[in-house]
Amino acid sequence: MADSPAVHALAAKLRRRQLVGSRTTALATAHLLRQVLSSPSSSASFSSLPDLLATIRAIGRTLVDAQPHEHAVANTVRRVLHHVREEYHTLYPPARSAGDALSIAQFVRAGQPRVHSVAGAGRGSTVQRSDEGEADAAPDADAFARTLMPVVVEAIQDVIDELETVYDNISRNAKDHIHDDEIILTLGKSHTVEAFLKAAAPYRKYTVIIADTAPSSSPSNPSPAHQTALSLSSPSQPASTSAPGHSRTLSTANPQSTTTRPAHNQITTLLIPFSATYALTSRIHKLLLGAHAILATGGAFCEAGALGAVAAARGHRVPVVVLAGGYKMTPRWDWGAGASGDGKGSGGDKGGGGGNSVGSYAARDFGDPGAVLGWDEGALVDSVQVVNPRWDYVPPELVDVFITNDGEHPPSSVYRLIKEAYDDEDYEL
Amino acid sequence: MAPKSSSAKEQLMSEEDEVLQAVILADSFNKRFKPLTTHKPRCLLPICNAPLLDWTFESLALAGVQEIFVVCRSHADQVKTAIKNSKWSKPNAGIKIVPIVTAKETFSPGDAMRDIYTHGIITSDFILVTGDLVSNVRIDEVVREHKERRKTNKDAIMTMVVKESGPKHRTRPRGDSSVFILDPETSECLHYEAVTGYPPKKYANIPREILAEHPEVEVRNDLIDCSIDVCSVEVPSLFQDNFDYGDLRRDFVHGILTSDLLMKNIYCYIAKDGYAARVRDTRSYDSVSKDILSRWTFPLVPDDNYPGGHPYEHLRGNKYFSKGNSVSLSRTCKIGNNTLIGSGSQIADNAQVSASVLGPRCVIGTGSTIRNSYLFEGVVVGANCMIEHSIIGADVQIRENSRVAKGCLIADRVILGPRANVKAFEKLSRRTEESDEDEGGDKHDNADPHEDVDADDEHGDDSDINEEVDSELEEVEANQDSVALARLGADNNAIIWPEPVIDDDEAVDELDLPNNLRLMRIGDDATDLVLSDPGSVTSSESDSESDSDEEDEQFGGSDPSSSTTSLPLNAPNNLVAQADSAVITEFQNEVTQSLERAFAEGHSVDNAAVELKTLRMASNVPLKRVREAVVAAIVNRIKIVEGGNVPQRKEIASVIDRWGGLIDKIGGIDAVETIEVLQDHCASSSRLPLFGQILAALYQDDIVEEDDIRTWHAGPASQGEDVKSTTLQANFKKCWAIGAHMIKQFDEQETDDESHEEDAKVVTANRAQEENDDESDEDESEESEESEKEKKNTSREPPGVDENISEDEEDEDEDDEDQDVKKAPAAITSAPEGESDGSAEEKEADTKSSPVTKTISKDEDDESEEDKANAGTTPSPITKNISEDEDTESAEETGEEDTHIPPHKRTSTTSALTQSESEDEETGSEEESEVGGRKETPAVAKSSSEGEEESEKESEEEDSEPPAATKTSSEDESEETSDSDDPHDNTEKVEVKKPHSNAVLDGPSNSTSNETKKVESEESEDEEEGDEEDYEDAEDDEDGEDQEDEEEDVPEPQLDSNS
Repeated sequence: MADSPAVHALAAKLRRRQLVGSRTTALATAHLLRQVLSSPSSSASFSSLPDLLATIRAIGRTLVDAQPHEHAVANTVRRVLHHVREEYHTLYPPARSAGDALSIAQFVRAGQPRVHSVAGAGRGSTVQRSDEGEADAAPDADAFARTLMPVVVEAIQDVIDELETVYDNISRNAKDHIHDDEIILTLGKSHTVEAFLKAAAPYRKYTVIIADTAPSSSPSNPSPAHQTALSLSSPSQPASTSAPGHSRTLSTANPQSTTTRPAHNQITTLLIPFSATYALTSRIHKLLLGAHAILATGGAFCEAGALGAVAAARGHRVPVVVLAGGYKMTPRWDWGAGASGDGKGSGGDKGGGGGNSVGSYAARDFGDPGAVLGWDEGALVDSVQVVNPRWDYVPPELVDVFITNDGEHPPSSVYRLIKEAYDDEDYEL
Repeated sequence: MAPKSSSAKEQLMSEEDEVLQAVILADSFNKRFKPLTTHKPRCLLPICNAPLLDWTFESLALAGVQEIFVVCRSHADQVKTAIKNSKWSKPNAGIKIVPIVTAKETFSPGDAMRDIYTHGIITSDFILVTGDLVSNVRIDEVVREHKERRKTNKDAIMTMVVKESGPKHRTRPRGDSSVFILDPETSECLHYEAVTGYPPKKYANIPREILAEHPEVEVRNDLIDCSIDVCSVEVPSLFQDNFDYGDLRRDFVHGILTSDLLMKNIYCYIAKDGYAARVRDTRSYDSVSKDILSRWTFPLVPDDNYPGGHPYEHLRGNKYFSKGNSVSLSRTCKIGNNTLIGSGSQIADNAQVSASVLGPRCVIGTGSTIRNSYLFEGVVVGANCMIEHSIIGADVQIRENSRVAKGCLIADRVILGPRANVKAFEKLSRRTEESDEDEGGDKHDNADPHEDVDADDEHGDDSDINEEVDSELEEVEANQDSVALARLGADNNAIIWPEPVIDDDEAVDELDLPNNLRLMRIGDDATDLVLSDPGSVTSSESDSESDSDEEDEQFGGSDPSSSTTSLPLNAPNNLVAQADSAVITEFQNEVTQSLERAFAEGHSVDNAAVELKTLRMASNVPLKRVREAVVAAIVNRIKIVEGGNVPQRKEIASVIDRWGGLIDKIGGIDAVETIEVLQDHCASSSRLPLFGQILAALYQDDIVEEDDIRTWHAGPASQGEDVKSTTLQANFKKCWAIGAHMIKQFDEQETDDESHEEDAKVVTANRAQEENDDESDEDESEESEESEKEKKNTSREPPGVDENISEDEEDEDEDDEDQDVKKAPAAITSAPEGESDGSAEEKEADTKSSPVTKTISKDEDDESEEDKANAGTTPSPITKNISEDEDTESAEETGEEDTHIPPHKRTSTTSALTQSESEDEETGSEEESEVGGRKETPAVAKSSSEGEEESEKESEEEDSEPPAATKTSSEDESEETSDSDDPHDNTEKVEVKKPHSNAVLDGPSNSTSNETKKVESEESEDEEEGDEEDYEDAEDDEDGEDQEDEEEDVPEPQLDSNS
């Protein structure tokens, strides 16, 4: 099942970076899972929950191996796994072993505030998998396929719906975060930030400063910041959905993010070079950042340059707000050390962090130096080392609040969100 | 599930209905990677530890290609096996890969294309790439554009993907680049020229039609040819039709674009984003490897979309280590930036590895240094070795304390050392004898892989190739220098490949000349070579090429990137001289030899003519060159006989009778040119005194007619104006005077009936000083016969034969002429006298004061010829002259032809003069010479043909016109005049004097006509404009001078001979 051509096609697209962007890839993953699981031939082939979970996990692993830099893919798979388990337990409530009285040990082991608590949920891979433990309670294969599969597909649909409404949900409270006459600084391009700002526009009169972090920009190929500036300052109504076709922008399945905004709520927009960020930080009221991934520590991967802006904001005591959909919550604790921009992290020795499959340095996703150094600078190519990272790691102590589709959270409580959203056993797919 | 998922796959994989096909030419058709490729095809050489072919597949997969045909020739079995075992042949890869083994006789990409045609596998537009491509360009975008274009233009058969790059970019091929002439609007490729790095190529030929048809062109040498072509179905069939197309670019693209019959268009796609490069030689192997390591090919990098099997981990400084902790690094080793280390490799204490690629299972000994090198799998390097800028094949063992200098290629399983010293650029491979290996060898377990590969080779059905290789190997082995081998260490099993030796008689593509190959090998910075492309590497400081130093200095600082540089205006000659001389000299030698043979062996004229025609075809020289060579040979054939005119004349007659016919059989009859050529040759050789006699002999043999002599005589070239050296010019004048005399005699014959008296006078005058026998002959004939036919039937001497034998006679000529021509307005050498004083002086002054004029006028003929053609073909009609018909006619005649035709301005004058009565001529010139003294009479003489009315007008006009205002005057006539002057204006701007328009690579000098042509190069235009202004004065001067020349046409030589 994990070998189906559709999976490989998506894996190839991810590997070739023909599909980029957290939300795009997350949606593609969810759609793929729904497609594979809902096809008639497949639903019959699952006889038990472990089967089903293993298949989903295998698909996820294929996709993640193809593109480890798109964390949203793995997160979506985790989310689906979580939903499947939930549905399963609603259908077949686990038979609680009678002797299980409430004890301290039990309480510690259960250790997580889960709505539909799964009995015997383990921590990480050291504990036995809950699925295997439940196998005895499972019904026969036929009934399983007949009863559970529709529900599973339903559950995946829930994930998709959540992904599709994520911008709306994040910007739901935008007007509570942005006040009149405020000056907001943001970096580069983030759909989330864009939607958020636009959502506040009808109610508030404020100024946005966009720092251009892209190495180069030209009329034919505008930098992300330029696109954002264009989108924010243009008075058109459906601006958020008709963003210019940057490769990292939304796919066709893009939902309407802002619904209630009347026409002609232009936002006063300033575009500045990134070098001016520090000087202007003293004048701004808020730094809004989009995130590529939020780690369980409360740190975040934001657009390259964010670390500098955040540090400047900290210097000026300006609040830093990171906007991100729940699918960006990544259950990893360990990528911060090497990836922080100071360069002293993982110097010469390989590995940096202890035994990660993805190096922490590489997590910043170094791209093509061509964006920085054109081919016409031929003489430099041989003599200069160009690094062009896509992300900066912003450590948790520099972030004031995360705004997600699930409400506002301080960095210190991200781990809880992650615990709630995913099952522990899925941290490693 | 199958149907659903497959439909989903369709949905995901491609939006197109058609299957997108690609053809990979997996053979390189050259030997630049020898000896690495003796047992392995080039496309399977690893680059960054993944076979080249896999990179190519990935590049194509990016574009959504669904069906790939791999055309392989050498080691086809290995290629097939590799494809079968690769991830691409797995069912879910979404790509169908079909290997096609071509015949052993496939020696070029063209042959491969013909093979594809015969297979008939191509069903729609397809992508054609080579098997050594690394690219992340969105080829699907190119395909889309191509298909879009095909909808409107069915003749757009191909789109080439090119990539802009700066002059010194490492990925830019040094030895083998190209010039694209593009239409900036449509990016249609109008012309293509291949450029070899060495010998330096400094100019490109642009067919004139291109400039005529396209208001703007871009001349670009800054495009890297990625060898990604989107082709239509008919491309293979075009190869089939043109069986001599070998190379895709040099033959096919160039051929298609220059063909008059095919009318096909080829377009370029200039890739703005993305990376595309070919591993075409060891140097580009190096640069592409570095590009991959420094992530230019992103996402095709080892830690991301890596075509090889094993994943890598990316660390700071672009270091890549195989994932899975299989790499074992010593704590004290140093790994530099841009390094890739394969799985299972071990690096010992204090070893240093930088900017290198280590294959899987490499072992680097203590204290060794590896820099800029590429080690394939299983290489073992002992302690304290040093390897630089080299490519080391699989399972090579280099024992301790060895040194491999830069640029070495060491083939698989060579064992070196200890203490081996491999010199720079050496190529080593393993001895074939088993015994050798064993005794030199070791207990190493490389027997197994060795056996395997050998077995493979033997099984290979491409036995021819292997035989070829084997014989080569044997030859190399047989010629080993034991001393040289000794320094490779005690236990070595290596043989040293010699530098390729080029036989003189062996036809070698200029690409493969040793010096050019040097530009293509790894580690060679070629600082001692002077390159055409200053961007490539070297500077012009080198003194190695004394003759091209001057140009180098001029071009050294110029920017070759896009067409931004203009020609250096002060030395246009060198370029073209350089261009032509080689071909012409060679051709002339050939012709001389051929004719000598013909003379010696007594061939028939027809046979000799056939031979000459073939020669001409072969070396593609203009007809005039053939004529020159033939006339020269014939004239040289004439012995100079001592003892007076009679035996000399006999000698001439015998030679001309025997061989004169050849002149008209070389492929075209142009008697005027024959005379010019004859004059030219006589003037510059010791046979000057024979000119008259030879001309007479030609006349007698019907090779030249009376009219021809007149035409020639009236022409400007006959006076040798554009000849620089004074002695030569004097010689020209002498010849011209002889001609003048002959013409006079023709005139006399014609007017014989009417004016017997005058005739008699002249004859008497002649008689007075000529030898008696000649004179009487002449006299008789002149008096008795009138029609030319009759004249020729009799074997008597034509008029004017003797006049030029001695100086005395010339004096006498002049006396004669003085009677006819009363005014002699100018004299070049002697002090002027009479009315003409002023003009002559001025003319001299002009010439002196403006050296530029002189230089230009030297090449005037060719230049204005070219301009003329432009004027004729440009959309906006330029020539509205009185002599318009003639102008356009001659312009059309010239076209792309190389025949030498005098500038149209003069042509018209000439023909007009010929038509008009001689008296008119005289009066005209009289009048004009009067005016000519005032110097501001540009281009008026042109209209003198129209008779006195015209000349009146002109003189009016001249009066009314301010000096030096010819170009700007608002009067109709003067506009016309200035129009017709245009060619001359352009003359200075174009600065190219070859029959084809030449443009230097670095700069487009092809902005021919002010109004219509604008080359997309502002700098150069600026420069040109500036220069044009500089020349304004000179032009006017020149115009004036021309004018005077024409006016002086008739009288001048008489005065000259006076001197």
